[in-house]
Amino acid sequence: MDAMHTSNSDCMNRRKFIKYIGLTGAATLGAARGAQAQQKNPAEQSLAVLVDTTLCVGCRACEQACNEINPDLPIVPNDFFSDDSVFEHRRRMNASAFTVVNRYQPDKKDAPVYVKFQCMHCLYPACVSACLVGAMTRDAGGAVVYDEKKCIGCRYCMAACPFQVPAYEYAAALTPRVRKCTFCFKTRLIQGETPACVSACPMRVMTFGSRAELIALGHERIRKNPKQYIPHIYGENEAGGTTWMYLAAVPFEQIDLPNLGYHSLPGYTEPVQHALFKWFLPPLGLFAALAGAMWYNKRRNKNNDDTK
Amino acid sequence: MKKIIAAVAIITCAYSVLYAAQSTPEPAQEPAGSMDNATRAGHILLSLPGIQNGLTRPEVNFDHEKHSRALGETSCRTCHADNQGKGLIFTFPKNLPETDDEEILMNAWHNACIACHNERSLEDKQTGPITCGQCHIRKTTKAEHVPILPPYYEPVRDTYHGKCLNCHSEPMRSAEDAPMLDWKKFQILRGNPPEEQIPKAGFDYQRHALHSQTLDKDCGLCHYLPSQKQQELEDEGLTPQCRDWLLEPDPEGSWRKEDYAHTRCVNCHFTRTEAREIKTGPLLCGECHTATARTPEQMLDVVRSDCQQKEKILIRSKEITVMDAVPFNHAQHQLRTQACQDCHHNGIQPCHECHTKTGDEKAEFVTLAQAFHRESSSRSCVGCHETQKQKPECAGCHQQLSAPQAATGACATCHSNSLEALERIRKAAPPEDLIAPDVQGTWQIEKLGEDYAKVQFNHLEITQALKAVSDASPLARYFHTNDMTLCAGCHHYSPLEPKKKVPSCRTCHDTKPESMPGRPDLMGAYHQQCLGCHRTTGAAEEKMPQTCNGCHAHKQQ
Repeated sequence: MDAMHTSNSDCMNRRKFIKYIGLTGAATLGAARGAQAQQKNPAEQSLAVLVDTTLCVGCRACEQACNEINPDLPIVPNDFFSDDSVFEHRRRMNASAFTVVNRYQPDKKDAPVYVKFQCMHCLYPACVSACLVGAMTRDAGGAVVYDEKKCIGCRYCMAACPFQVPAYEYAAALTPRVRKCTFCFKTRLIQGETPACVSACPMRVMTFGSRAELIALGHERIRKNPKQYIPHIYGENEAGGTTWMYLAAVPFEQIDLPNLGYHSLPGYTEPVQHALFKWFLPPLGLFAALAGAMWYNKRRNKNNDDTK
Repeated sequence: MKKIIAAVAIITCAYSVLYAAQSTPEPAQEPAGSMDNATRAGHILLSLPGIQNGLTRPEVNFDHEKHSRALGETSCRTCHADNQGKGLIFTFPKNLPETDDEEILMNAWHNACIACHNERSLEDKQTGPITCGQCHIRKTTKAEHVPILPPYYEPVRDTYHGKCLNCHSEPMRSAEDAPMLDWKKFQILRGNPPEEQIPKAGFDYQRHALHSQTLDKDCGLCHYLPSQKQQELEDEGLTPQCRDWLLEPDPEGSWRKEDYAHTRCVNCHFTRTEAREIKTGPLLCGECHTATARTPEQMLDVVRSDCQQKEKILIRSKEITVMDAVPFNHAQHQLRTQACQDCHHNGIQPCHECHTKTGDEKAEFVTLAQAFHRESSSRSCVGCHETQKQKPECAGCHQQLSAPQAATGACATCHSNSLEALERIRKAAPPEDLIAPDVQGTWQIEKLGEDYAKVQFNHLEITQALKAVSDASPLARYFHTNDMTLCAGCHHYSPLEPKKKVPSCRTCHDTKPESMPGRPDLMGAYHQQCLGCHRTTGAAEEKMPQTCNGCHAHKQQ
């Protein structure tokens, strides 16, 4: 009899507990919506680059310029950047190269398509959101910058990035850093210059400017040459928008620009995470609810004992 | 000494005889091993539609040609069912169940193939495979898997990972998926070569003439008369003319449904062969599917079918009188098409019969003007001419120009209302007369960068090359109306007059990229224009360089 009693009260407890949790969850979601609405629009003042892949000839001058402007990147042999054999493999950004050009051949008959990859400098960067210590920050100008002094090497940014951009210095055992494109933020942007790759490109594949202007320019190019382009600017809305945007003649999936949807990635996680701890109210509520349940049960058990 | 000479002579003789003996069998072996058109046409990929993703084994690459050759040309009945005396039904197997149940269908195919192979093996005849893997051959072999390794990975030090495939399963089956996978998922670099398309059957004017001659101009064997027309002709006691005959459009055939060409063409050839008539057509795939496209020079020898068509006509509409008539050289266009159906639909009626001014249901509401001008159609004048401009030798200039037919006065090039315009065979003016004297020769393009030397640019040579391209094409000769037309590809937007200097590129293309958003700076403009043309033309590196060092020497090297 006694056992039955306790089990019954346990059951009640669990049910109530779930109920409380449900209530807290609903409150959190409500708060989350509010949080998202309050966020400022980062696209407003952002600088950006429009990459027109139909123009690129794969000369890799951008890779060379990037290597030269970043003195801590390894020194490579002089003829490395004129070596075409690198195109045989699909390459990714790594600790020794912040930008890579890959070659694609979507149609055997057509000329190959060259695509330059680097950090996309998202408007809502997932790496910034994932970073525990604030080593990744997004500058108002659009650059997503990394501070190695703050970094603890958890590599959450690498896992979070939908474009698989941040790389890690696995070879540097004592002082490993996360490595990625800096948008030439400290070296050139601050001095009013364009990023090194943009100014090195002989074909002027990349156009640097304000994001709103470049979006207008991209749509203008598509409108003027509807046959040449896929009528879409990749990055205008992808993952909430990026500051590096692409025009292409072939479907973007075929040149390794993934279909991410238009919702920003931190937009999925942050509202829940932030709201959970907003003014510490939901946790307080939870603890209060638990305390209430304890108090109620204690009283109930006491009453039961009294009646016995 | 004589002995030595004799010995050398004998050895040389022996060698040459041996060499000859070795080399003679080669041509005989070649047809078996080489992938000529005929063999390629014979490969037909068999797969049931809709269940590719659910297939546990790869599709069968069925070689129809091999089967027909092995069983003899008239062996169609072995696999295809009789159509109550009207030839054969070219679906497989003979009694294909009318169902969508994939398992029943699969079994029907398996039974038909394996039963025949079994039977022949019992009779000790040459036969085909019986076990699964012999027909369902996996096309990607393990040797083709080359993973992209992360840069810090040193294969030499790694003694743990011996063979990737010991642990990694094959992540994909098709070549399309391959570039999307990274090393974590075990990347495959070199996938299958893309499926080879079955070449088009080359039925053209020449084959039509051949059929017409062999079949004593019995048009009704292939063409049909609409019943209304037939009645009309009977009432008036006339014989049908070329214009009256129609051709059934060829629907897309599938494994379940027959298409027009196989039912008609192959059946006719087959029944005639079976009846042992002497003059009959081919039965093997590769004999029709040759994908031949005859050049205008070859077409000159082909007898022009006599449909009472005029050589040159003035196309004018009774309904629309606003525009002047268009002179049209029918004979010249016939040389550059493979069959009447390249322009006409299922007959050779004049366009306005179906395409009316405001659009008619018969022509799917495509108006008369659209029938001639629609860019997206390969049948319309403008559409076909647009595709001509995509040719490598033409695209270099034409991709730089925004639709020239939008220019003022462009309509009059075609709508000239005079047949004499067709006689206009104007050649491009010699470049020496057009280019201002001080920019004719070779000169150096100004220095823009630090690393590269100046470019030696030969203005005259390039213009002469453009003239050669233009003069070689009758279409270009007709439409390049102005002497300065050839200059407009590079000198866009600027006024062009003979012997007069044009504004320099620098006028619009500044050296500072920031000064003109959306417009390339001077370096970009040069590279985009030169390389843009060089790349589309796809000519040899020496002639039209596509690499940096092809145009300007690198200073460091």
